[in-house]
Amino acid sequence: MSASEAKKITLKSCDDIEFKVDIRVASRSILLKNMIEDVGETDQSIPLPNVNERVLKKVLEWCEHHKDDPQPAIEDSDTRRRNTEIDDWNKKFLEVEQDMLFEIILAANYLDIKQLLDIGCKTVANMIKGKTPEQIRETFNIQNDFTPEEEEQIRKENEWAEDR
Amino acid sequence: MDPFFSSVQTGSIRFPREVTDMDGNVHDVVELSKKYVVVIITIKSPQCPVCPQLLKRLNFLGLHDTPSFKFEDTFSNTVTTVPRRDIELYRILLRLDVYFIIVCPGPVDEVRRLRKICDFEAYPYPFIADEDMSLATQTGLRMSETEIVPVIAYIEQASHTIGRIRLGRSWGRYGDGELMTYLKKQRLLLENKARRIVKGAEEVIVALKRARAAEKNRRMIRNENTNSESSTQEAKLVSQHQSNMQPTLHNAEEFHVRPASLPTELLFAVFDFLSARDIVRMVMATCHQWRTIGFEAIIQNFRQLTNEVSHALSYHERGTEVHVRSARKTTVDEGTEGSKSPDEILNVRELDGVLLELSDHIAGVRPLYIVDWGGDDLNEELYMT
Repeated sequence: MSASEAKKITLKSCDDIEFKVDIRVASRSILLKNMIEDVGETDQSIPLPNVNERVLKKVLEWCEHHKDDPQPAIEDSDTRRRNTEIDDWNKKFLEVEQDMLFEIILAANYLDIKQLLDIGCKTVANMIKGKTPEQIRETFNIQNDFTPEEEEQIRKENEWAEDR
Repeated sequence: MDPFFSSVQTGSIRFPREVTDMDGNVHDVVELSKKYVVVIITIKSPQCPVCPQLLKRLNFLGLHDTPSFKFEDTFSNTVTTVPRRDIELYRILLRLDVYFIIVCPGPVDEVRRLRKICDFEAYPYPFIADEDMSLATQTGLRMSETEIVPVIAYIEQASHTIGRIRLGRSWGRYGDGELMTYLKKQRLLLENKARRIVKGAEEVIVALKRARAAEKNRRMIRNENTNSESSTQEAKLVSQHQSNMQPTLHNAEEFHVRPASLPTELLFAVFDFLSARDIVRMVMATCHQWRTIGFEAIIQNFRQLTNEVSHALSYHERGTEVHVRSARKTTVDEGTEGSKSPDEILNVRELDGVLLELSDHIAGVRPLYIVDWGGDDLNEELYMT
């Protein structure tokens, strides 16, 4: 095994597609990083039962682009919450169908890639901002399950805020 | 009255937005005033024997890493000590809250010498050698061809004008007392405001819990009714089926929200990036599931912010007397029970920023106060779940 090959691992998606990736790239995922540290370098593929080929390919594209980034510092949640800006590359990266966006977020959560999870959540938060509840329902395909009485109560509840 | 004296008193003089120190570094005064209480100290001239005493006293009062416990004033032949109860507070004020800009007539070498003899070399504070007296002229502080009026002034954050803390300096009267009073007032006003806001926030958290519990209770009742209706409907459908009809079976679940594409914990993470107002106005008005998660997100945000503010306060009260618990790199009473680590206390500007956010949260959820959620009918145990 050559030196360059030794630094690669194989990931297997839930639909049995294998990806040979640089350990540095895979290590953006804390789940994989810990796994590699525990098991050591192996020729056997690592199965990822919760991620399909399409999503894994996309996630690995993100990991490849960010492979040289420093690991995120432990940021207090308040600082994280205040910052909802997304840089251009990540914004472009997440310009995908909503299903795909959700799947990327789920995969980032499963693979423990905090930065990707954060930008995914920020993207969804930005999709919510400035919309009316009805528009939000349409965007996310949510059924309005409030009774007319509850809706009236919520409308009253929000009157004060609307006036501001 | 001299135009300077009147203008400084009325606060109509603007300080430059940027200044260049004697080492050629440019300092953005606007940015600094967002982060600190910016205080301007003018030195009459590099040869003035009195002015350096002020800087030395600031070191003694707690600016220095290892301040001496007494200050011997060679001019007035007096020895002063910092009251023990003030040591920690002074250190917070001088090391966290304030940022000094020292302005002195040139030449540079003389100003550098002044900085050295005052033991200010280790600090980031700019020393401006006003060689052509342009800054002194611009700020109305020019006293003569080679001298600047000795003042201690602050920069008003919003208007960027100069406000007077102390005008003039003489033997034994250096103005540090007025400076400390000013800084103390700034912090204590803000900390008192913080305590009021935290109290308000805690009340909102209780109201939110009550509202959440009331809504949960109401929904449970509604679901029971729906299930009961559904059972009746199901019995009818069974009967229809038995008579070989082909009905459309309406599951009770159909009347509830369809599961969101993201699980609850991830929706929670999404809502964490929204303001309380956005959560109340948009998220909580969308569907029951989002409403429930919205409640949790707001309560958690409130908890984080109130904890942050409470933890960042530098003192606690015993009656009317204020006692500071800790200060950055405190050399006295270090390790006292209840002390905070250096980075736990926010400076006044940081604290102000958190308070603004917390106030916005309170404003954002205010509607919950004015809507009757029927929470009063619930028992106390339920409120607190």
